Amino acid sequence: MNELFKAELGRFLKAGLLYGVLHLLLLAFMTRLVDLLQQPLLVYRVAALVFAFTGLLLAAYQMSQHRKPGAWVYLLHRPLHPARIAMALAGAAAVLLFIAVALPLLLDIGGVALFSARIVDTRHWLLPLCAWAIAFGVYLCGACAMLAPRRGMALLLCLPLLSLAVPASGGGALAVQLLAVLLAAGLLLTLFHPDLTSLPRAAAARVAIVLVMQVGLSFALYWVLTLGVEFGLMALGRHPLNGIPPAGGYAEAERADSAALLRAGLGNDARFALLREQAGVAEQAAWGPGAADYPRYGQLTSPMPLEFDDATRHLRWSFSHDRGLFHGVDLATRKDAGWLGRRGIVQGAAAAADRFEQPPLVFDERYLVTPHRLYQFNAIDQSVHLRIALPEDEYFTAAPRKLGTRVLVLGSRRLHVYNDSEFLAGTSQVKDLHTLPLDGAIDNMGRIDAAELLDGYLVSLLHGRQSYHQDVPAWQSVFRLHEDGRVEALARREIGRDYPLLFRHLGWVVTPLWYALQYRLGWIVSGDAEGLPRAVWLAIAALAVACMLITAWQARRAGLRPRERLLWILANGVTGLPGLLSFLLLYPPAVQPRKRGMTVLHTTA
Amino acid sequence: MSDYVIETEQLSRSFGRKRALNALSLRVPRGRIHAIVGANGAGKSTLFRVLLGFLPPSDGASRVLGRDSQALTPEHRGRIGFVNEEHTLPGWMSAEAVTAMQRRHYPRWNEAMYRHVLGHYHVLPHQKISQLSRGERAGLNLALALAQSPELLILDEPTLGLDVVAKRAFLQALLDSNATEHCTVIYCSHQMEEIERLADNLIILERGELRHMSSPEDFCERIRHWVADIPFRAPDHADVPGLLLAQKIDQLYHYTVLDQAEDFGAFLRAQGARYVQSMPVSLDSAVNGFLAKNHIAPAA
Repeated sequence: MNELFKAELGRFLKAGLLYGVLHLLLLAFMTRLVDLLQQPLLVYRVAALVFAFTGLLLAAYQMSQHRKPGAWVYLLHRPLHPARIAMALAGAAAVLLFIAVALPLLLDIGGVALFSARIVDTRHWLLPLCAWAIAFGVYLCGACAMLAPRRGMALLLCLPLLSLAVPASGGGALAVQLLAVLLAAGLLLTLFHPDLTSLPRAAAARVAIVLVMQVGLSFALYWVLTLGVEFGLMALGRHPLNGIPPAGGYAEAERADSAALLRAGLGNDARFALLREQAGVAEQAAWGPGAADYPRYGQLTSPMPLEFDDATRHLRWSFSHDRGLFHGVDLATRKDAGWLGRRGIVQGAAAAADRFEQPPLVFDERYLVTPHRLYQFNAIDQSVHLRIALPEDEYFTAAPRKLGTRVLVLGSRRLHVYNDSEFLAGTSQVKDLHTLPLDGAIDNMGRIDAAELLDGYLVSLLHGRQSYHQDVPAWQSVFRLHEDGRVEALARREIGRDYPLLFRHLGWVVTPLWYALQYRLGWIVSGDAEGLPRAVWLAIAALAVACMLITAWQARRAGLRPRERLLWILANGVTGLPGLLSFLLLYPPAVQPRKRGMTVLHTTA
Repeated sequence: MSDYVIETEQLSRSFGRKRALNALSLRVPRGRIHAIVGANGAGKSTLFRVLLGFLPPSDGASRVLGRDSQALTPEHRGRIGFVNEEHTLPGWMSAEAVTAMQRRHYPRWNEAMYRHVLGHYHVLPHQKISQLSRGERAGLNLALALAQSPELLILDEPTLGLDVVAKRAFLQALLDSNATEHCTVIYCSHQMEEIERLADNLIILERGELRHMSSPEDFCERIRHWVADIPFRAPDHADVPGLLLAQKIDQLYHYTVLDQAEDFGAFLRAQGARYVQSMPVSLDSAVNGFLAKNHIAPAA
């Protein structure tokens, strides 16, 4: 085994080293330009894609060479268990990917830690391991796909997507990635046997393969059908979001300007004639919930860079997860400029009171927002003040908006109204002047519009953000917020769903088990969920019966034993289309060999 | 211990609608050199792949060294040497590195045998496999396979693509190794002069079926070549007993026939032959005639 490992390592070592050196040079160059450790999530995802592709490329090349009939016999026909041979090859790949992917990252992070004033947290040291886990996980899945007896098993490449599907962060995310690596390694061991034409014999391996394929098929089916319908509607000129949206629908409401939306929300009621008039001429504001995914301590990446610039002193403050404080770097000299906590500049050793309770998002270069607290950074004296504290059952969803003489803050359960002079000029914590309870779940809210009246505010809440693809309703409510704090519900109108019923529930119809699982785990559930309509239940049931019938017919043609056949029929009744497709990909119908041709006496003249 | 190194029972293997092995029942006894011949597509390579567990049979069973070929253990694989026509070795490794790896893997490694066989070739230890000629690669492959001290050595067209010199060197190395003293050799080839020189037993496969098994000499004795001068119409092929191959050359009819005694001459004379002559055939002609009989040809 060691000899095979060394031979395989030696085969690719030069290429691995070259890749590693180029990778390091690129990282060093980029580090000169930007702080690579404080980048938005998209940057890390692009890098992860590159690392994944590297692993896939290695697997594709390595296994395509080994799986040639002669080479495969040479590799496998020896007094060594196939699993040990697989481990030798995969072990060499693991080392190569470490050299090419992880080592340059480690060196770069080490360089930043040693030779710059930038922040390097403990979590950053995990990034090379994550990168390696992604590359190696994809390598293992690529190797499985290359050695798989059926082409459809290329769907095993979906296994590393597990880390995207499972909502874990920090060390948990790394653990999920390593779990994906372990699963992929297990699959490779079951597929790494002399006979490349047969499925693994172990039932557990077959079940694992089927499960991974079905998850991949669920993704693929959902997106292929969704995009197919979307493009089809576009081609027919009937796409709700392409061109003129349907009248009375959510897309129309979402695109309307504030005045038009407020007027539409008030309707034609004669009592609101004056309000409709004011809505057209008053100062207005429109915004929507943005922040929902707050960073947590130890999280490997953040939705946005946790840093802001102090233009007056040419300082950049970057958040350190280890310290729970912002760390300053002088942009002119690149020297250390101290620490900033939730009580302002930290003098001497930081106290627990300086530490932010959660890594804050940064809005407008001055608002430092954790889920329940909003701090304000004052660049003049480098002070930080707690300005707003929300109840524990509520979190901030957007930056404060000033409208007229008030500042409006959209929480996840209420609209909070503050006095603008108190909020903008002061430094102390402000109290709610008024609040307006939201009449729907924040995850379904699309937009809030407000207009300043002569005596109060007119507020419209537009719900239905998820109505395109979910079983949630869409509606608009209009409230009047009086000067004395009274909230008066003026009108509510139901808004039409722009997409047909089955399209909105495509996920449920096409991949019922996967959707039910996500629903049960709370990954896709909306607070406004209504439950599935009867027509969707009927569609799911009809499709389940069709899947069972096709499975029964195809299982007979594939020559499966009665027990296996029954198992597949029942399973596909539950899993639906992904189950049926995985079955068709794994068990093509058996082909009967031809009878012998005529024997012909060969004569030459 | 089984008396047979290879046993197949109604072994079939199909690729789609094509049947490569068709209910093949074969028993190859232990010891000696057994040659397997057959036209392209006769199922020889498929048979080896099934025997080594690299292809599952569609039907039937096969055993190698007494073990089900679909359940060969690493220990069994260590007792079976295999040399294929491509002489597949890792091209990125040096000859000495490949040798070192094999030496570690095979517990019964015979260094003297390795050096003896490789002595027929000019292979430098540090040479990369990819830099070796096909003949040198074949020699190295044979040396590696024999040094493993296998009980069964399968050589699948090992001289394919070799020039005359390399071919001779390969055969000489195999003969000099006295391989049959230690193991049973299965030698698959289209080169009849090699078979004549090496084989103790001849196995003929045709379209995945066993057509013949005997010593090459016995096989040749069953086949005769007759030349007849028939001035009028020659007999229909269907009427010629034991006919394998019929040719008309320079107004003379040539018949290659199976299992026909001297009375075949009387048959030809009865068909109007003025002159008949019979002669023995070489193994090449015998096999050619035997396999030509059922070789498919386009409809006239």
